[in-house]
Amino acid sequence: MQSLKIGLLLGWRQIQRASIWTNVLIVFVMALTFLNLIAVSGILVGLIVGAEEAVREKSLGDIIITPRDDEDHILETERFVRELSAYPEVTAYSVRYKGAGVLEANYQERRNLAAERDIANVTVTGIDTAAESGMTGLEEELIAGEYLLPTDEGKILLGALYTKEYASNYGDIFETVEGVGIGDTVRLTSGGISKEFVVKGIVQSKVDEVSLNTYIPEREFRRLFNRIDRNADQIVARLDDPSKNTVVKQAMVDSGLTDLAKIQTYEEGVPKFLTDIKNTMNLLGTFIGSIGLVVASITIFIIIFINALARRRYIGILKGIGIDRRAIECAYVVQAAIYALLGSLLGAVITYGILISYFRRNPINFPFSDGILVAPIEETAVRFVILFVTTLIAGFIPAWMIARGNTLNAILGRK
Amino acid sequence: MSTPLIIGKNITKTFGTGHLTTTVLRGVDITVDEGEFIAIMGKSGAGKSTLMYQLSVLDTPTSGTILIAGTETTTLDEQAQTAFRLNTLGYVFQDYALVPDLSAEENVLLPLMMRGVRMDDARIVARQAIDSVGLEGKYKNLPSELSGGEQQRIAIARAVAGKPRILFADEPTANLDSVSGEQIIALLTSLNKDYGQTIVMVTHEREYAQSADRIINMADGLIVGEDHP
Repeated sequence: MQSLKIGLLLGWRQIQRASIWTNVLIVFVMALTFLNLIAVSGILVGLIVGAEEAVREKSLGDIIITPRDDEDHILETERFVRELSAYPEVTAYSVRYKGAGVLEANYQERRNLAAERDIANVTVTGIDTAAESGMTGLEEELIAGEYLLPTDEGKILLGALYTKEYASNYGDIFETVEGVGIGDTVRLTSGGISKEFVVKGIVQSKVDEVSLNTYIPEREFRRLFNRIDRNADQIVARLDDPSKNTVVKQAMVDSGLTDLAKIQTYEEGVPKFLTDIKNTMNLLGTFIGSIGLVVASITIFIIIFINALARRRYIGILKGIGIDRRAIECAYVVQAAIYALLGSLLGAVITYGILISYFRRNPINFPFSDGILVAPIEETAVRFVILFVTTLIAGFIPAWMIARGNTLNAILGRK
Repeated sequence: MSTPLIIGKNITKTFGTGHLTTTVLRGVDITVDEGEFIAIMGKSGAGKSTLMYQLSVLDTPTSGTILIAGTETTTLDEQAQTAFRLNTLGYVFQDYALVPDLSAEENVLLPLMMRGVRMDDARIVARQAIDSVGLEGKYKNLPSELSGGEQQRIAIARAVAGKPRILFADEPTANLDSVSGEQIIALLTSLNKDYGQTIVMVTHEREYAQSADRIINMADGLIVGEDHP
């Protein structure tokens, strides 16, 4: 205890008497290390979290209902609709019908029947246009043309990645039709039934489920795909508080709805590859951050080592007058601890006070997401503890090396 | 009859290994009584400082025994030596050896705190010690804000604040002008005469050694004679 008290006094006084610029520099290095540890992985993970949030916002919502594994469609869809309408937590929902079709363009100008047709295999989604807009804001994803009206007949919204002009940025990886614009007529064929549609709008989003999709009113979908039973393929719902989705799901399970369809929270339904990528990014960020941690440890080690070496004689004198070696070691550990605390505090202020809100306002524009900075408090706390402990060790080792030397040699300046 | 406080027998100290060895102390026998003020004198290389380091438990002799206040110090491990120095001995070094980051008061109270004295009590004792060396009001001064003589007086205050059994002074006047040097010797003499402080001082200045009860003369690692001024 005495050693700790004296260590605190000596360590604090050394910092007080040191050059202000030296202190600022060390704290700055520690703050950068903290940022490296938190922000690098935070941004890498943030790219995926941004994608996850976009998928949640623009496609899947908080509750996802899909057909049971042994069924093709959601049974008694109307019952789900009634149930969802009754939950006060549900702020919006959308019933979707999904099918696969072949989109053909430029067939009216095609003179040579032997020439290749301009076709693309597409996903077709039948929607209640108002409900879908309320649920995902699909209307806001229009980059050309207008949104579908409930009364529209023979109108279609095309996902941008089905048009060659928009998809060309991604190379030749998507099936596309060429030269299709607003007002052009396209033909949609499914199961031998074809229908012509006029392109009313083109939608583009960082969520592939939107950009690689075609939307038509549900009424037309049922007609085209011969779906007279009104049983949908997907129902998604948004809650006033996303964290309540387990509660709402449980209520639906308790109502026996799992006999009719599979009910999942967003977390359960999110594509696994997103979770896998997020974990990989986290690992990558931790690895990069660890390099920073090693660099910071070496920096602290060198600073403390030089400091202790320069004060070797005083260390000897302190031991000479009876100050325990542990008190001297403690003094340097205290210094390292203070630098780590101040640096981490500065880093935390920069991260939580500036960077997170900055990246919220100005997300990093990636093709598949709007990257944000993700720094959960729990993870930050764990990384801070790692940084802190590493710094203490980096401070202790040089102090231990110098303090364990021969007392008289230290006093006399002998090697 | 006075009580021996230090009894050193056949103390030898050899530096180096193999063929490259130098024997600095060649079997020194020495006794210091409680309340005695002794001065160790000799030319450079005579072994006076080396002898003091052995007696003051800053170094361990190659052979021989040293009994201080009933404790055989040559067999103590490093931690026990440190504790022994803290509780039994006081030191005044040639170049003051104050911790530059600490104020005068903190320099003095540091060993007291190490002994477990509460901070507030240690501060009171430290201030009394500083007052006793004639530096009232200089408690908060850093060593760099004090003259050489003042720093040495703070060093003496630090050494005596814990009331050590023996005060070791290694050429305490070497870095001081003659006026400051005389003041330091007067202070040490006063500690000895007024408070019965046992003092072992190494010096090469005979005029200062005259204040001691006994002068031990050394040459070539041996005690070659004693004077009683």
